Amino acid sequence: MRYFRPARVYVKEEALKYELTDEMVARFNESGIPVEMVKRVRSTFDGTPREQFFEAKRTLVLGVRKKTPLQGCRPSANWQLPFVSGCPGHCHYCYLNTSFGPRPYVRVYVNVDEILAHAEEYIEVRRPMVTIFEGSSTSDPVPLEHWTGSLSRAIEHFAKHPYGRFRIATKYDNVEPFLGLDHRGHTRIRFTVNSKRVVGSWDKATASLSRRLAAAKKIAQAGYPFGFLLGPIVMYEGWENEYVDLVTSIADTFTSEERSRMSLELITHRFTPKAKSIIESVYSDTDLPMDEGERVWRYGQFGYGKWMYPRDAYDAVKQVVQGAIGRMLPQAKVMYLV
Amino acid sequence: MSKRAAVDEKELGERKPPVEQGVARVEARVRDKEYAFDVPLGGNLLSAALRNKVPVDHLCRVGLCGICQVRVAWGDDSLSEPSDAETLLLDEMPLSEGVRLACQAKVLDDLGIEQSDAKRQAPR
Repeated sequence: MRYFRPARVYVKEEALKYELTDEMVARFNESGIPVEMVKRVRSTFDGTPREQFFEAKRTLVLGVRKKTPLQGCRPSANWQLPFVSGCPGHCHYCYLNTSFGPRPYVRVYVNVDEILAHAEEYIEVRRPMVTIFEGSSTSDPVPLEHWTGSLSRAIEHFAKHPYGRFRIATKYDNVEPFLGLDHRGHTRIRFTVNSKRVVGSWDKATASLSRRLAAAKKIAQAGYPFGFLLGPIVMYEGWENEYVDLVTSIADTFTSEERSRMSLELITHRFTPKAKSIIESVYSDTDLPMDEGERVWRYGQFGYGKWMYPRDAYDAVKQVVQGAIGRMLPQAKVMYLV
Repeated sequence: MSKRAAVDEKELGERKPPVEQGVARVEARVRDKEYAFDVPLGGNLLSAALRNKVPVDHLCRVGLCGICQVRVAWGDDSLSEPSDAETLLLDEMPLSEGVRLACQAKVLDDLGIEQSDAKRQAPR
């Protein structure tokens, strides 16, 4: 089981009044992880930017999520609903690399009930329409679940909610906390998977592909709606055969009935100039393909530009990956290819 | 006489199935604008709306993303029974209050639908 063990924990003053803080601190004390109460989290790390980056990612901060307007979350959901931000993983291509500056701490928000109450306001506006919340837009929260329990609380909360639904995505296999929950099909759990080359070269500090597939099997057997994000699809030399192998591995893992409950989301690789700069700074040995000459410039939904594959490459992905899905996973539903 | 009844009468004397023999009128209020269009009976609600340039918000078209939710404003029985995908995503209460996935619903009779402006989907 791959989960996150922080090197140190900072507890912000405003988090002290929450019960979850007490529970988590007790768990850290039992595990021998140093905990420090602080008014403000500041840089305490020496070394190069790369070393500081790696140390910051091993640092967990317990804080309070301020009640600011929720961000939209197309295409997978209506709204982002983060219980964690930052991620202990080291995926070279991750868009979160651009979000947290030079101090990418993993932050846990301990005011879970307040966050759920905030979501309720959004549900009420759209009612009787169903409102869908994404729990993984600013993090991969699953490797922290054994410390926080916050996803489990959200799953049980939305299970009882007629108008709210929840979605999470992960590259980890720490799914045991979810298996016995009363989810009533209101939470969809997706596993981000990729080709052998991508997982081996650019998905660092995450669960192996076979562990992710095994975890997905457990989630399917627990009756959850589930699925896979195939992404980012990277077009390196020989990508075609490796993505067909990936689809084959998925098909071989699930029964026909399970495949009929499976969603698939296909995301091609793209990067911003800022992300490329950070990636080349902190993962200086990466060979992730980021040649602007092979890409086209497009503006995304949040108004900033990014380098994407050109149309003919996108068509090739459609032919190879979606073609393999059509042959080997005909019961599964492809939600989108972007 | 409803269009569905009219179709049933025609069905008695003709070989073609009713789905090919008539149209239903759909009135839509989408992002605060009003539209009206005809759908061949049995036609897919989302496809018909898009074909008629009605900007119903949508994405996956396979009943999973939930983006194409619409509310039936009138004509409660004018759509096909909820699909498995709708039952899974929407569940009992939203369905009983007339919420449907446009990508899954087939039009059987005249009806009115609404899809609210996304800007109005956040609390103020």
